[in-house]
Amino acid sequence: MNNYFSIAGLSIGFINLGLALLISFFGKKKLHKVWSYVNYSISLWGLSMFLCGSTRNQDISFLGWKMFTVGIALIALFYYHVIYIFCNLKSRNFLIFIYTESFIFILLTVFTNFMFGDKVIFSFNQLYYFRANFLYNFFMFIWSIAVGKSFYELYKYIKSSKGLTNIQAKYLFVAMMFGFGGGMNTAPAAWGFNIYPYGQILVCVYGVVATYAIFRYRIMDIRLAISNTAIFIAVYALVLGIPFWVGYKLLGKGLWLLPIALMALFATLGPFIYFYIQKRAEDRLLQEQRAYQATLRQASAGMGRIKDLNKLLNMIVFVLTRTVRIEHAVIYILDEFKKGYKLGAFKHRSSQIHFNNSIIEDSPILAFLSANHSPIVYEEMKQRIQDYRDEKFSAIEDFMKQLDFELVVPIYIDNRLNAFVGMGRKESGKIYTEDDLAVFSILANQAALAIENAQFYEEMKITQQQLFQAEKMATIGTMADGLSHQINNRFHALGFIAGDALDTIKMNKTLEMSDKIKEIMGDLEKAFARVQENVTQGGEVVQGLLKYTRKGEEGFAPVDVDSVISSAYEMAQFKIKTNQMALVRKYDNHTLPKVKGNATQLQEVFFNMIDNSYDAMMQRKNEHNEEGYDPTLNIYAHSQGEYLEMIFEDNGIGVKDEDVQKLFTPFFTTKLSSKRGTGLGLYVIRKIIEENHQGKVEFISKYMQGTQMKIRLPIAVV
Amino acid sequence: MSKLLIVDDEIDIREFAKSFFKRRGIDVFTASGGKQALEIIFLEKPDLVLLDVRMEEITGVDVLRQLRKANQFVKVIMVSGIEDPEIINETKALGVVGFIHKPLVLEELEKIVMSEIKL
Repeated sequence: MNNYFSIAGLSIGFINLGLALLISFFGKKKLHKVWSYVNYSISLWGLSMFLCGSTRNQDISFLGWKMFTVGIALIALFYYHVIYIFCNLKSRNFLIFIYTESFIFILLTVFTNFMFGDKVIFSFNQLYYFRANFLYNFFMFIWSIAVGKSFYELYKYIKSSKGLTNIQAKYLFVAMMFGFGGGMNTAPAAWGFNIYPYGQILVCVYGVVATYAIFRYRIMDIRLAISNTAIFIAVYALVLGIPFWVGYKLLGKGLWLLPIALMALFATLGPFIYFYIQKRAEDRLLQEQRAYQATLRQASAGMGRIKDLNKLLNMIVFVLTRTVRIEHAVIYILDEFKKGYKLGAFKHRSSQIHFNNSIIEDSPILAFLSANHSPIVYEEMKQRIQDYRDEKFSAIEDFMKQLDFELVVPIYIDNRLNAFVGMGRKESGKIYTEDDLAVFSILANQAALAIENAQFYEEMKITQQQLFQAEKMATIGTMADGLSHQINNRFHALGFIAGDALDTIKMNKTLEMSDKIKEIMGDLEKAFARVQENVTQGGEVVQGLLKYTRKGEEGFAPVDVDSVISSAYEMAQFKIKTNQMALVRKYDNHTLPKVKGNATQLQEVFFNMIDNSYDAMMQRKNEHNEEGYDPTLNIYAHSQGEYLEMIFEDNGIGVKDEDVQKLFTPFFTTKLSSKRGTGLGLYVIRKIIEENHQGKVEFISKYMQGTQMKIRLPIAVV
Repeated sequence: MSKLLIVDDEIDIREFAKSFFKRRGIDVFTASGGKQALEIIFLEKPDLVLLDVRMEEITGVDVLRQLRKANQFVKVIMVSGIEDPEIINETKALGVVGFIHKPLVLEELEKIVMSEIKL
């Protein structure tokens, strides 16, 4: 029959059957499985009500009520089991007891008529109710204890838990109040009380809400959920209620148009009213959150204007910690050279966690962020571990726990993980909501643009300085060309003058001269000879300088690295005292294959290597005064497939571990301040070898042992 | 008497070299530029020319080119401050007998010049 009781029952039956199937299909953990049993039981219970409500046959109705009773027994039983798993209860005694009790209860219900049926009541002019017997009362008493215990355990759990599970528990608690409250509304009639079970439909709410709570990772703030529901019900009660009430009052008076018009009007207005009130309520409930979200939005808009990367990163962590009031925030940024992520900036508010200087590339969290493109919430990760028992997740959870990250927000540039922000707990103890994550995502997008901007700007600055440097060198080169010509001519002339004077003396030296004059002549001869020697030496200096300043060869051609090393070494003689060190070439092949390269650039590279090694070796020599220390730069070379591999190995001071990773950073220098270079050396080397020559530079250094620089250059195809 | 022409835009070089070689019984002419050098070569037909590569108006290489163009095959020794392989190759092709680098000690120059003139 079409009555409320049966229709409500049918709805409950199908909705919960759907949920149960869904959970059986998608649920992976035990909690999900047992929860699906609860849903199946509710479904059975609902369908039994449909049966009871829609039949006028007493026997069928009796069967329906038996199903009904089995349903409520199972609901309480599985529900307790869910609570048992959810709250991590230790003692199994009650679980075993309730299983046994339910088993007996169900057996007696199905196979005997002890439970109810002594007296039949046709209730509400709709359906048969069977009066409960004593045994039924007895079992219902135990049933109530089980339900009460579920409530109690859940309540205890809410008091003691934190974070996501706490919110889940709250949801479950609210859902349970709806469920059991509504469900029990069907009971009074069995004891002869004439109360119509309108409340039974609330069991649906129960099934849906609880399933949501158990299944979703990021759940809505429960206050919001309740207020939204309440507002929805209130608005629609009025929107639909008023026309019905008006219609009811005007019934039979022929004014049917008015209620219909009202209904059309209210039905249109309904959603607007609902969303308006909901928005107001949300703003109110989430006042604090809204405030910091607005600040963050403003901050993210302003980020693009900051051109200094360090300032930018510091601003991000500063704004985050201050506005969201979190314990700490840290930002790690991609380190192009070190193949990992380096500490960009951090800010502590109320914790003293130590952040590592770098995070290596194969850290599981990086792989996860790169693959998933979404923030990681610590609580969520914990849930995932339970769900999937995957070691990867455990490693991520471990990592986050160590650094006290409650949330990690990734920042991508061109789909590549460029940086990520680790955030501590909120000081308020609240968890990060979906809304928060949305705001952080906006922040992350803006940050990505700003970071890219700042990085670009920084690179520009470096490029410009290099260009400036290069231009300076080119100017000096051009000048040196003319200059050396002039100097050469002066030397040449000087040499001729001295030579001629010397010649004059030789020609005119005669025996008749007095001894005094002879002595003077001898002295002059010696002096002019010295002038000539100096002229020759000066000429050599100019020759070397000319080689160094030869105009840059633009193109790439097969280059004989050995001769380039020679000219670099010659060039180095103008800067360093090459007699203080030994340069030993140890080539595998007698003649090295030519590489595809630009001789001028390679000369620059080798010059830098020799210069750096020299400085390192002199530092060791001067600082440590080791006996028998012999500064040596070995140059090894061998072909390896399509590449020529060269190793420049010195036995200088080496680089301390903590400085190794900074070496390729522009302007970083470990050299003593008295001879601090520009710090551009290694940066330039890397640019020339890796970008211009498609080669590879590797750097190994041990403090007090020396430095090894490996360079791979492509062999020229002849 | 052998004739030697010294072409250089440096007066000191011209004068001192001249006095040096004169003492060795050589008839020395000097030219401060390419134009003057060409005139002297056509007029005096020297046995040897010391030709500076880098000069203001016409370079030494240009002078050499013009000489060869006019079928004037006088012996030439180039004098330069820079070892530019291109110039060395071109002047070699134009049949110079030597290429010497500045700065050079007079005694060395004497050896080279004497061996060329005596031939």
